[in-house]
Amino acid sequence: MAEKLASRALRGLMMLACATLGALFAVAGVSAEPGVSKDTIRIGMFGPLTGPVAMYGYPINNGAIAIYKKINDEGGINGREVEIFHEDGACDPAKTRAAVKKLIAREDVFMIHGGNCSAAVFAAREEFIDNQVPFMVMAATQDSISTPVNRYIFTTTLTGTDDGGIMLRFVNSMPNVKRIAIVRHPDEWADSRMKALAAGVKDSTLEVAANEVLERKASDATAQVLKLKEAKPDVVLMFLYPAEAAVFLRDARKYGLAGPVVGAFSVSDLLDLAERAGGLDMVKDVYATSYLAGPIGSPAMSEFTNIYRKYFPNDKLSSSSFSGMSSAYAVIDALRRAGPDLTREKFIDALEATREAFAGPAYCKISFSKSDHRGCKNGQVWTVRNGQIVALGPTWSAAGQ
Amino acid sequence: MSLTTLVVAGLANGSLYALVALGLVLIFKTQDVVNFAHGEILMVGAFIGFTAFDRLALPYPLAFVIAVLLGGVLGAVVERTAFRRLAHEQHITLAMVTVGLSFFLKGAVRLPYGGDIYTFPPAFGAAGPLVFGDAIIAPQNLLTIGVALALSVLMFLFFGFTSLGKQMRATQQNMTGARIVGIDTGRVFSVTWSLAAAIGAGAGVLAAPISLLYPDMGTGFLLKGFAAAVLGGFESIPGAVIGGFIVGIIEMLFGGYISTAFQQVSAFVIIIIVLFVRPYGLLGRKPLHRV
Repeated sequence: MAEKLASRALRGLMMLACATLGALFAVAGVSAEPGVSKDTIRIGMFGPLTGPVAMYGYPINNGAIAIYKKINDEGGINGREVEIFHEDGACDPAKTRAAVKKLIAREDVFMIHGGNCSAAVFAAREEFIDNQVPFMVMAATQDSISTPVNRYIFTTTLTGTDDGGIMLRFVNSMPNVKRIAIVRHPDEWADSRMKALAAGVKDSTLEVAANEVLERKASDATAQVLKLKEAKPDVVLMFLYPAEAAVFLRDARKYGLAGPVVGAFSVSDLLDLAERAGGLDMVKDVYATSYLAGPIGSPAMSEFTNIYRKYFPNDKLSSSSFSGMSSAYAVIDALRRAGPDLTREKFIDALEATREAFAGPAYCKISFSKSDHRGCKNGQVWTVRNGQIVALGPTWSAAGQ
Repeated sequence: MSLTTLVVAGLANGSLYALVALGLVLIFKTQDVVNFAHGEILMVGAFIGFTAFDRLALPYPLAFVIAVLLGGVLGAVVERTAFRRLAHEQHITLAMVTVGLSFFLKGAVRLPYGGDIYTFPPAFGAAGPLVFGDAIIAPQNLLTIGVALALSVLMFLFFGFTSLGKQMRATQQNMTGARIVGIDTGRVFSVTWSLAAAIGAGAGVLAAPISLLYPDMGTGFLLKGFAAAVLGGFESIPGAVIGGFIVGIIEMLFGGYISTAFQQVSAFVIIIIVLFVRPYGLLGRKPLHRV
């Protein structure tokens, strides 16, 4: 009898303890979901914050941070503020993978939003998948990061294939263009654009008259320019990063390679390119694809310029300052739609349900589906007129040429 | 495609490699160490020239002289503060100090300039290239070749016909012997570092207008200069110059006539082939050991 009483008392005590614990958790708002509390959502962010690429890393990340700060100032998302945890990947694959591991294991983040260097992000890809942590690419463009589709990985940047497609569409719309010449880096970044171009050229009347390689960090492009000049192309397609593009354009002018040059998104900051190459004359008849709705200073960018300047008043504005914003908008939109009872799975479902959503300063509208996690596929072409970058639209005719 | 255009452009790039090789060889001959910071000395020279020419609007020749002089001072300071006490340490120790120095110099330049890429305006302003038939020659290329040749000849005369040059050669051949006959070897080291750094800084001012200006710009030049020195014979001053010209011309002709995809490695492949035949380089000699 006494034993029964003791057993009942013990059971009662255990039930009371469980109920108390449950009540405590409920009151504290503690969720079992990693990185989510009653008041905050922890988002991990990584990028090159040291090393030579840091000059792009900071403005890109800061653009996204500015959007999150603005949302926090407006009351947060479903009552929660976004908390950012930074790690430096230094554009290095090993360091980036370590940074991602740290964000997941030590900082216990809900999701990760980051990555500007394609090779480094690709190296960390398995970490997101293995740990089932949602990942939104910040600015890396390599196709293989988001293709084939994985449930946990999303991007709103223009991938290499999409960028190459925009270049091809523009070149195809140019009058009297039959012979194209290509100068490119020998890497995955250029290859992905080349793939789109090669596929498009096959179905067009265009002919590739020359296809030359310019190594990264090259300080001379004499041989490339002379070979391209000899091929007498109607237009040159340039799959180069800004520094090498400046070297190429400088040597092109030096050795008299005339004609229009169409560059990838990497050189969309054409004024910066002009400065590197030695003056505005260097970017005469140079076009570049752009992911953004308009150049810095244009009405299309004023809202986002103000946001960036509010939170980072000492930063010098560049195209990079806006490259991380559209993905931040996509994250915020999905977090909102995932509701107050936030889980990673609900967040991913919300992302996959995104249709024609606001992309901030980007030219596109963002759409994801279960079978397509590349949210933004449209861009336009820019050039320089009267010392200012102007948006021409997606085709030559749209530009009123 | 114009062979002359390619050769002149190759000679211009080769001149820069030759100047880098010259600096490497000078220090190697004196202290038996490869100066891995020599690319960064070139970079520092380029930034000094940039500051003088672009920021202070001084004439290009004056900017060049300032860079060379300050480069020389930098070399002397480095030798006196970092290498004098370590002169008798193992080569690997000295080499590691030069690696540390390279990081230090890059960091020092990043403090005022950050990691951004700058453009050094052309020395001849908006002057267009010279055209001879189908050959197109940039004035900056002619300047680079001319200065490289002049510096090489000056070095040759300095070592062959001046007292200090002869003291340096004596120290290079036998440091203990040089001390016994009263040569101030400390001064010799100092002058050697100063000369090598001055040449490197001058190369930087020549390289910047035809390259890009950023704190990591020295690495590529160091690699090519090193290749030139190996090709010419690491202890030969004329060899360093000839090696530089050959590396520059090979990569330009390879890119122009064979493939741009292998342009950067072409010179190294040729060097490997040459070294199979002449392991001590084109003008290098097998070291003799007294037994």
